[in-house]
Amino acid sequence: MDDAVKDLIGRLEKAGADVFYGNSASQLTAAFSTIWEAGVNPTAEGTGRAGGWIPDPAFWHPIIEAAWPVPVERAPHDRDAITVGVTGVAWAAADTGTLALYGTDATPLWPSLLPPVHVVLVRRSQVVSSLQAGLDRLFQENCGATKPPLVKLVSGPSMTADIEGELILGVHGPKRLMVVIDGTGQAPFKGASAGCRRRRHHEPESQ
Amino acid sequence: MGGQLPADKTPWPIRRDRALADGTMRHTIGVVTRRFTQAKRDAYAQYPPGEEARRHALAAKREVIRRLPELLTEARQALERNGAVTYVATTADVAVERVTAILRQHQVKTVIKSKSMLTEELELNDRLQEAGVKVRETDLGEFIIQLAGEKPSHILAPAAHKNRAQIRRLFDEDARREGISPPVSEDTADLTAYARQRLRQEFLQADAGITGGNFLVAETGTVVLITNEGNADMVTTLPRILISVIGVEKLLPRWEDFQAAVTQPALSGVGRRLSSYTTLIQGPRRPGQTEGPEAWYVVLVDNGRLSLRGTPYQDALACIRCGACLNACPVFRQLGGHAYGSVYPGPIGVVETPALSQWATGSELPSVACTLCHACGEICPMGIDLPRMIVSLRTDKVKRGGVPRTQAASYRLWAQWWASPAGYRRSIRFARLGQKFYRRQGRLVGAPGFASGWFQTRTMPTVADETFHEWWQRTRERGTRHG
Repeated sequence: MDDAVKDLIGRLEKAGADVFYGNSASQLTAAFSTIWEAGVNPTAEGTGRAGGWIPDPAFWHPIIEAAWPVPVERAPHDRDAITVGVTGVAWAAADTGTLALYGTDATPLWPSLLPPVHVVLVRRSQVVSSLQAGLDRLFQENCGATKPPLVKLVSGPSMTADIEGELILGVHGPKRLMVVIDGTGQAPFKGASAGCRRRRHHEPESQ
Repeated sequence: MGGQLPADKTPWPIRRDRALADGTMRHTIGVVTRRFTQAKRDAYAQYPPGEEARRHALAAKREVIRRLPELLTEARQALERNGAVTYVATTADVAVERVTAILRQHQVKTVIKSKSMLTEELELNDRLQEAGVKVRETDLGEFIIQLAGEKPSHILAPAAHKNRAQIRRLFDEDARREGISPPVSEDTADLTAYARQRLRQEFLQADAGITGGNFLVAETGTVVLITNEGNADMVTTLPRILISVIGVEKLLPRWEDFQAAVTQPALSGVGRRLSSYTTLIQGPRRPGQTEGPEAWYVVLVDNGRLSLRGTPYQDALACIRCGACLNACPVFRQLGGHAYGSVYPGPIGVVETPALSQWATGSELPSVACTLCHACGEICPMGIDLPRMIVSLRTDKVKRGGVPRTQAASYRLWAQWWASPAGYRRSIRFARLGQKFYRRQGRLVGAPGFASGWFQTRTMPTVADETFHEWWQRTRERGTRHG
């Protein structure tokens, strides 16, 4: 496990997320079993499996299906009845523990918003060392026709300290943020759109 | 033109004494402010890129103040390229009229809102209710004070002055009105669970959403919302109409300036690198999307901000609403936010309320709500010299005749006497004689005229029998004179 992934896991856990890391298909399946046994019993999922969130469905589907024998709801009528939402990420930044989700037609945001549990699938190639590097990527996306109308940077579960300054999770958004990181292989990164001109004050960090 | 800010008509002494008598609020505010101040210190110490980013953001904000009109045009063009409809509202009235017109046009009956200080400044909720639109605050702290019919007491934690028992009572009453189950207990977790349940249906059924904006990136037409609860994401994805109401000073020129500024509110406000959710709005729903608004309106509000440029107070436009000055201020720590009688409490409020409103509101604040300890100026991440501005406001106030005549005359007399060494010594001789009336147990317990107020909560040492000069003359000069 390299430093960036270690950093990311540390930050996410500090913010109150549950993080699972696997280096093989069997380890990842075990992670999903743990999630299932921990009482996160999805009665239906969000668009995770059948939707566009996962750039490599041939990799993830068997892993999830081995642990979660539940029906997949791609565009459920009653989104509010879903108990677990599954999404991927566009990228994940290690130094701030941030998961970037772009809301597009293939990757809607409601699975990360309405259900009380949000499961996020991250592949090693999507982890960047700094928030700045991730935002550089978003800038590239913004230059092209792929500009996402809504972007959500998640750095922890829903929380508030509005009552007596005491920290409480799960106000309106998900109570539990569960992140599964796959240390193997590469997911194709939807690369930069053609020629994005920039005036820079700093150089982007390389991974 | 001066901005329109809501005014609390209660006189300052009553607001002050009411705050000082509220032990619950003072304890809660005291704990919360100290915790955040320490957390901020630790967070920057552990994150050197955050400090570098702060300096970049500070410079970017100064650039915004310099180039505001041109950046405003640039931002509107970028927003419109993204599919938004934009307006600039010169005053609060114009902003409210515009928002009301948009809601009417779309036959909106119910609105959900995420937290926005600017909408409090515009008194938007009240005015929309008057126009027959039901508005629901979704930020937990704002929801609590909406139920209580109160104003927020802190920029970041609007219900910081309320304790659990008080909140439970509010929720119980609310549950009775709505015919739903009340909170299970007064535990913070159960109170929060009640709010979650209670607001979920309103999220799903609202016709329109209204947000504020923490930043607006001119280069890309991106509105940035910084939240922790998840309510801003509800407001931006579920209703069919979205309106973002943003102060013109919230601009940032380029994406790289946003990259620098994005971590500052959380680092400086509560000592975290980012809040739980940083939401970027870059357009309404695209074809093929099943969520997001069909139409996105951005109302950019001036309300006195543009007029601050070229005054000694223009740097106040660099404020990122982190709340650090509130947390560091000894006056705020004792009084909480309500005592200021303004939408913007604390040191930034002491400056902005009279400055934005051009003395129509909060004119007493620079004199009564500040000890000039400079904690705010030291802690502000955007380098806003609040202490200098407060002194400048005091000077302005005197020039405008804002000080009672007897008080002004007393200060003038004092200044005359102390303008020369001889005058100073003469005044000390008078004081030595006159203090007879005010001595008790070796201390001074009073003074004549308006100075008596100083002694209501203090005593002073008595005037010494000899000044240093008198002692020196008596003991040294005699001794050194040889023959």
